[in-house]
Amino acid sequence: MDGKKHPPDLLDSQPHPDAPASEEELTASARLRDALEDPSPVLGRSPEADLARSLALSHAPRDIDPKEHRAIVDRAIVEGARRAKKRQRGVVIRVTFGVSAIVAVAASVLFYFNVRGPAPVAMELAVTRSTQPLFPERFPQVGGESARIDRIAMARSADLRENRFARWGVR
Amino acid sequence: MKTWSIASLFASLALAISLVIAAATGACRPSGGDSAGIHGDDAGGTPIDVEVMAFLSAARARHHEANVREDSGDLPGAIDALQKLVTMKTPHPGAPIVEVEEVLADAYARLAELRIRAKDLDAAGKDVDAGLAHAKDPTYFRGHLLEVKGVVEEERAKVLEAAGKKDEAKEARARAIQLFDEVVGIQMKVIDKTLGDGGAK
Repeated sequence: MDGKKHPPDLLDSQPHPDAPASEEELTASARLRDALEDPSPVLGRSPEADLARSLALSHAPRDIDPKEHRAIVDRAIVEGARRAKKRQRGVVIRVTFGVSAIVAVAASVLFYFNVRGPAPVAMELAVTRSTQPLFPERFPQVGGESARIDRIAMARSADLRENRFARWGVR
Repeated sequence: MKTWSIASLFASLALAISLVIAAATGACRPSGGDSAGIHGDDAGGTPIDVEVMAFLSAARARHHEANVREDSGDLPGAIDALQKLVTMKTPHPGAPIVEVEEVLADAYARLAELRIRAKDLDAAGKDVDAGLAHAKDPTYFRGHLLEVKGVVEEERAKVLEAAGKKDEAKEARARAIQLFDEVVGIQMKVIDKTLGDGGAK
């Protein structure tokens, strides 16, 4: 062999490679063959068969049963549609709540400042009215119109100026 | 779950809308006082504005133009200036402005006086009538117009008398006296009204 001397007890315990298969080895071989021939995916019956099947299927997967395939596709479609609908409704609700919240906050701010704003003050504006009070004395029988329009225009000009100041908030 | 979501949705929307309405209502509230108060003796008058003032200013200008023309002996020119005044566009059409009405009444009175001087008594009478349409209440303006109308009748009586139309002249004098009586009645009403207000006006 390798020219070295081995202990006699070690050489005796190793089976010879060309020795015929033992009864135990034949049983295990038959079990592996049966497991490999059986297409049903029952795991655990033979670890060696499971490993071999996994390797083989990963390299060349078998076609699945058409009925089963149809059922899987149907389930996937239903589930997908359900999830899409749920997601869409969720988005609509979130957007609506968001917009409502923004509008409510904006309105609240506006409302707050209006409530807190100064109370309306009745503006005293000079209004159109008879010019009679400008002439305590009775009119002369003739003439005086030019002097009267002077007085009227000046008085109402002052009123207009006051109204402008009032509108500007200056009193 | 679905019902709760929809209910919440509507509740929040309703809340937001009601807040917006409340805020908008508040925002429309007159701030700083847009509500005009009364600063005069005629409740509900239009606030004196640029339009009213523009008319008064233009009327004043026409009167002064008439003054200048009168002083220079241009009686027709003075009449023309006042004729332009009474045909001016008035402010706030459809809503008579007291000042405008009174200024027009007074302008018609002056126009009638000028026509009397121009010996155009019929036209003077028409101007007085046109002026009275602008002064229906018992004021000095109405009183003055009636006074001018009395003067028109007084002058008419003189003309008729000179023409030998004694009866017609008598009738004209009677109308003049009646008008002067009416004037006195109006002046008394104006004085009573003024005293009734405690002289405040």
